[in-house]
Amino acid sequence: MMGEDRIQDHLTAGTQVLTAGDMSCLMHLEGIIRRKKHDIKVMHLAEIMVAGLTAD
Amino acid sequence: MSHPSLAGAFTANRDRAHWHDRALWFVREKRDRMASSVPEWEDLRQHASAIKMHTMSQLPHYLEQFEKNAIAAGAQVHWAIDGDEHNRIVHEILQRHGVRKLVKSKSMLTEECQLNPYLEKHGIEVIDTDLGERIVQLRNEHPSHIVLPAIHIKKEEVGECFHQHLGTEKGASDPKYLTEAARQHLRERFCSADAGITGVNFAIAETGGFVVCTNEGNADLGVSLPKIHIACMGIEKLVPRASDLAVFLRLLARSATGQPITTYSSHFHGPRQGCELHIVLVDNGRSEILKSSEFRRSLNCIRCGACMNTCPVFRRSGGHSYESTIPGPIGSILTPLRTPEAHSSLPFACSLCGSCTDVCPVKIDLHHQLLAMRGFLDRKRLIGMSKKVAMKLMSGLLSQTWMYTTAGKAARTALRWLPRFAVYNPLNPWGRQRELPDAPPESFRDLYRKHQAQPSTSVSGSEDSDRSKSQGGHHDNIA
Amino acid sequence: MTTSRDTIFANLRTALPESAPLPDLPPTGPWQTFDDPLARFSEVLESVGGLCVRVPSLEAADQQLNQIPEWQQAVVRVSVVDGVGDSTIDPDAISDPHDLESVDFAVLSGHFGVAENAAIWVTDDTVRHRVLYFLPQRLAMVIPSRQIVHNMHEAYGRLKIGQHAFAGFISGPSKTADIEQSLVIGAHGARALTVFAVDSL
Repeated sequence: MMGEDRIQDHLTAGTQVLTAGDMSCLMHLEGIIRRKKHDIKVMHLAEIMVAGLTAD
Repeated sequence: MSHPSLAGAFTANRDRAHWHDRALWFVREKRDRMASSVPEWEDLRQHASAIKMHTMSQLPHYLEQFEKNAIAAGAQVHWAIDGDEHNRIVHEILQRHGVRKLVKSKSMLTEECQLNPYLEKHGIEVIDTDLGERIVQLRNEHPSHIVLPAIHIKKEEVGECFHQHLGTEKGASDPKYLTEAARQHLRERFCSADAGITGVNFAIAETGGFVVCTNEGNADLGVSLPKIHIACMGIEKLVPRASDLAVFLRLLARSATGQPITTYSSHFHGPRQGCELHIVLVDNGRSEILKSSEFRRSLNCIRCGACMNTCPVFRRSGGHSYESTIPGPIGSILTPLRTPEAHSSLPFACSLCGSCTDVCPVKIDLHHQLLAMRGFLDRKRLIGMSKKVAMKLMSGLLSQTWMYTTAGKAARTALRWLPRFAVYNPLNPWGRQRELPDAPPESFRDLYRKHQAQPSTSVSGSEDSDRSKSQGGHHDNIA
Repeated sequence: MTTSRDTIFANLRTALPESAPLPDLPPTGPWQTFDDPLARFSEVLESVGGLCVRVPSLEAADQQLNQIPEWQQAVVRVSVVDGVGDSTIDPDAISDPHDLESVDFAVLSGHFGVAENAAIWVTDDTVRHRVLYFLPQRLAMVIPSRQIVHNMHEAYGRLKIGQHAFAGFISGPSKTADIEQSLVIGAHGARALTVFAVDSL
């Protein structure tokens, strides 16, 4: 329920990409997001940085 | 029952759990506003912690000083090793005076000692006079929170309860109307009581007196009419000097309910003329906690409840899921210290987020202690087998390279090819509410090895777009 | 025979924590102060459900009191402040505090106020029965307007704690939020508190 509430906060706030540095936290939240088929992309901080490198 | 199963039952009603969560968060926000309006808030917390640490380091000295001064002021002082002795002492005093009707203001200590059932067994009527406590008493329940005993009950349910017991109109649920009914009902009890019991918020060594804080005025009414006042306190409630009260009274109500101070902060020194004042000092395991360098700071607690209001687990699982007089973060330390067998699941009702430590007015390192408590219970061999076995397997897996590699490969293959029912079944509790991540095509280990073999590997080489692309593709999958 | 007291002390002395210093708490330390303590006091009192009325004299306080409808309607009244209100019964002539149950309105005196939390320091030497602070339906409290300290440290700095069997801080009327966190004024004690801050005192 804690994870669901957290995601609800992000849905309310209009989050498009959810990120963090903690893998287990991301796995937990993404697990719920995908089960509920919410439209939020989950990326690790490192992925965002790598995406930045690609963009250059 | 363990915390997870009771919490599961509470959260099964999502609307109610959300309602409970919001009610407590509302209190937490009030606390924040109050704390931020005092510029020296952090200094106050520091002072409060230091005063408590100092007091604990000289507790026998301060207890002796308190006893001497309390007796000099005319009070009678009693000592109880445990809850049973406490109950016997209180009962003896009441018996000596032929007390049949007793009014009691909020005292977590008497809850801890289970005084009410003891006295009721001996034919004494005990009326809890704090409104929240009266509600739970009428409903035959225990408080679910140390400051807000009835926070788990909806006003419609209070209305139903009062309709049954106090004869209020059926279906009435206006808090104002219900409070007025309780006022009338309890006034009659205050005026007919033979004795009053209070808890103690702070006892002052240098003066031999003590302070009781309430908003309703129930403690004061309860002891200003009858001739007998019994004050029950744990031995950790002492402060050395009256001037220390300034620090604690500034912190207590702001932390507890977000008020600048409680309505009544009453200082008692000796009995009223022609009356008796008894002070019962109770150990009940406290001296054992003091011996533990790991957990002794938990004795600093001033019972404000701030750690409960902020705890994401408490807010959603409700106080009763802890099955403990003191629930929430602080209760998950204090209670397993006393009864580890019955309460071994409590320190796991915690995500170690540390919010409790942030709000604690006396700076108890709550989340550190909660982590330490898991070790304490493990040393007592009280950690549940499923948790133990999983941890053992995991640590074996992670300590052997070949096992880890093989397991990883197996998992990647399995996740890709196994039918859904083989992955999501009762053997996989993780997957009950969550999707497992997609299996990446290759392991980090393989990827790294490939990467090492490539000639251009500098991280700053942003011109190496091939590398970035291939990695980007991979990362899309593990997210 | 070993008493429980002996056992507790023996147990406590086996493993006391390392000694830690007691912090110094000067009454005028680095604590919060206000430009206008009385204004702050009034503001906080209002936020906790009370009302502060500043008046030049006791006479003016009496006039203000007489305009309060609940005072006008009160059947049983008690005042322990000379010149402010009157008494329909003599509380000092009553020996059993239970006989004060019917008091509708009482006018009592406080020693000083605290700006940070609108608390008023009261002691049992101004009343024969301390229950007068809690049992009447409504209260008015008379305090000197110049006696408003900034914070609790300053308050304790001027007090000699332990001289009264009962003394305490009262901040606003009795209240509860035990039913669904909705604040209700008038739990068991006073339903209303009016404070007269008097300049001439």
